[in-house]
Amino acid sequence: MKATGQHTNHEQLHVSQNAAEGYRAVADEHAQTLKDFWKRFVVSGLFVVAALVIILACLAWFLNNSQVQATGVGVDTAGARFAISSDGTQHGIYDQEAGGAGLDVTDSMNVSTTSNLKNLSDDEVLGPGSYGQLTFTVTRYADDLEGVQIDISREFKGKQGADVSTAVQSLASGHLLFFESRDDKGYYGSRILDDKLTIEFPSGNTTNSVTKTLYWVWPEYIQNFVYIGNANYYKNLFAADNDSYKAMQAYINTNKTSFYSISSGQTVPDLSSTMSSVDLSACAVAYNEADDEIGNAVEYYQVRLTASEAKGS
Amino acid sequence: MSGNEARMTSAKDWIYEHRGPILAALAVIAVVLIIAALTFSWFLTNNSLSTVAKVDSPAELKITVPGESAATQLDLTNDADYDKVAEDGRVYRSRAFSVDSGGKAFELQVANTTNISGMSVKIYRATVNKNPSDSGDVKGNGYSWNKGAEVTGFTSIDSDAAKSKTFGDYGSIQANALPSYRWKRFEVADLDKNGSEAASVTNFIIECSWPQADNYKETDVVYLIAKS
Repeated sequence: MKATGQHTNHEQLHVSQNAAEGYRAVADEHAQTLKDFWKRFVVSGLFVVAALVIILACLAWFLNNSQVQATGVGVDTAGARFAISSDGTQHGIYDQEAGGAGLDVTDSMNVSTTSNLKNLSDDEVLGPGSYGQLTFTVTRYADDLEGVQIDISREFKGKQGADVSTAVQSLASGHLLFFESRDDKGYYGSRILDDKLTIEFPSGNTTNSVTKTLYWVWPEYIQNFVYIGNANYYKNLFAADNDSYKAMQAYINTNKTSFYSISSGQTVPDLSSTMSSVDLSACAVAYNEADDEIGNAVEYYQVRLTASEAKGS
Repeated sequence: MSGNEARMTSAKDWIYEHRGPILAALAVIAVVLIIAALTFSWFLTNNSLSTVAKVDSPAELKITVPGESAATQLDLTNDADYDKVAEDGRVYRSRAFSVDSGGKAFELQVANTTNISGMSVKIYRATVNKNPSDSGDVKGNGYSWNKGAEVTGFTSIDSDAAKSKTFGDYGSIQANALPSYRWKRFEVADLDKNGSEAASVTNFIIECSWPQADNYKETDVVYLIAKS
C-alpha cells in the first residue's frame, strides 16, 4: 500500500509538471499571437496611412484649380504656384459684423486710404455716387506660370442678416461697376467684362509680382451712361463717345434687369447717345428706383476677388 | 485586491508590455496628422480676397419751412412787413428754409434766372430764436430766425454746359432765362448740431436783393434743390 501510495504521488507530481509546462506553452503561444497581431496591425496601419495620404493629395490636386491643369493626356502639377495679396494695415471696418451676419470673411483683405470699398472707417458707406479703387498684388512662385485669372464675385446680406432676393442681387451687381482705368478727371475706360480679368506673366519675363488696381464706381444717375465729358460735375462715366461708352450702353440694353427696377409688363427704353429726353427720364426713374430697392434691401455688400491659373492666355 | 484594482493592474501591465507597438502607433498617427495638415494647407493657399462695405439706405431728403413741413414753393412775393429797403437802394427779401437730411450729408443746389438787373441771391446759415416773439431777421407764424454766416464756396456750373440738360435741343433761349447754377456739398461735419451729433435738420435763410430803381414788372425764378 505504501509503495502504491508513493507511486501515486509521483504520478501526481508528473501530471502537475506537465500541466504547468502546458500552461506556459499556451501562454507563450498567446504572447506570440499578440506580437504577430501587432506586427500585422502596424504594417496594415502603414498601408492605410499611405493610402490616406495619397487620397488627400489627389483630392487637393484636383479640387484646387490653382494647382493643376490637365492638357491632353498630360498632367502638370505644382505646389502653390501663385498667391494674391493686398496692402494696407487693417481689414475693412465692416468685415467683422458682416461675418456675424453670415458672410464668409475668412479671406478678408487689407484696405487702405487708396484701396477700399468705402469701408476704411465707420462713417463711410457705399451708395449711388460712390467710387474708389481696390488694389491687389498677384505673386507667382512658378516660372512657367503664364497668367492668373481674377474673378469678381459679390455676396449680400440684408438687415439683421436677412437674405437678399435674386432680383435685388442682380441690381446690386449691375450698379457697382469695375473698370481698369480712370483718368484724372474721373472718366473711365476698359470696363471689366463678365467680371473676369486676366493678369499675364509673359514668358521670359522675370517679373514675379504684378500689382493691379481696379476702379469701381456706383454711377449716380442713368444719364452718367448717356452724357459724355463736360467738366464732370455730373460724374459722367466717359469722356467721349468711345468704345467703352458704346460697350457700356450695349451691355445695359441687354441686361436691363441688372440696372432697372422693372415692374411686370413695363418696358424701359434702350440707352443711346441720341435718345430723347423723355426716354432718358423713363430710364432715370427705373434706375433710381433700383437704387432705392438696393438701399432698402442690402446692408452688407461683399466683393470677392478669386484668382485661378490661366494658361494659354 | 478588489476586482477594479485587478483590472487596473492588468491594464497597466498590458500597456507596459505593449509599449513598443503603442508608441509606434502614436508616431504613425502624428505623422498622419502632420501630412494631413500639410496637404490641407494646400487648399488654403491664398487665392482669394474679399472685402465688405455697408450700403447706404436711401435718405429721406426734404426741403422744409419753419415748422418742418415739406415745402414745394417759398412765397417770395412782396411782404411789406419784412421787406427791407436799405440805404443803398436795394430791396432785401429773406425767407427761412431747412434741409431735412436725417443727419446725412447732402448737396444744396441753387439756380436762378437773371431777368432782374443786379439781383443777388445769397444763402446764410440760420439760428433759431427760442422765443418766437423775439426779434429776428426772418419772422413768421410761430418762429423767429436770425442770419448766421453767409454760405460761401458754391461751385458754379457753366450755363452753356447745363443748357442742354435744361432746355434739350431748343436753341432760341433768351439769355436772362438761362439760369445761373451753383452747388455746394454739406458734409456731416458741416450740418447743424444737436449736442455733438449732426442734427436731422439744417437751417438756412435765403436772401434775395435787387436795386429798387429800374426794376419793374420783371420776374425771376429761384430754385433750391437738395440732393443726397
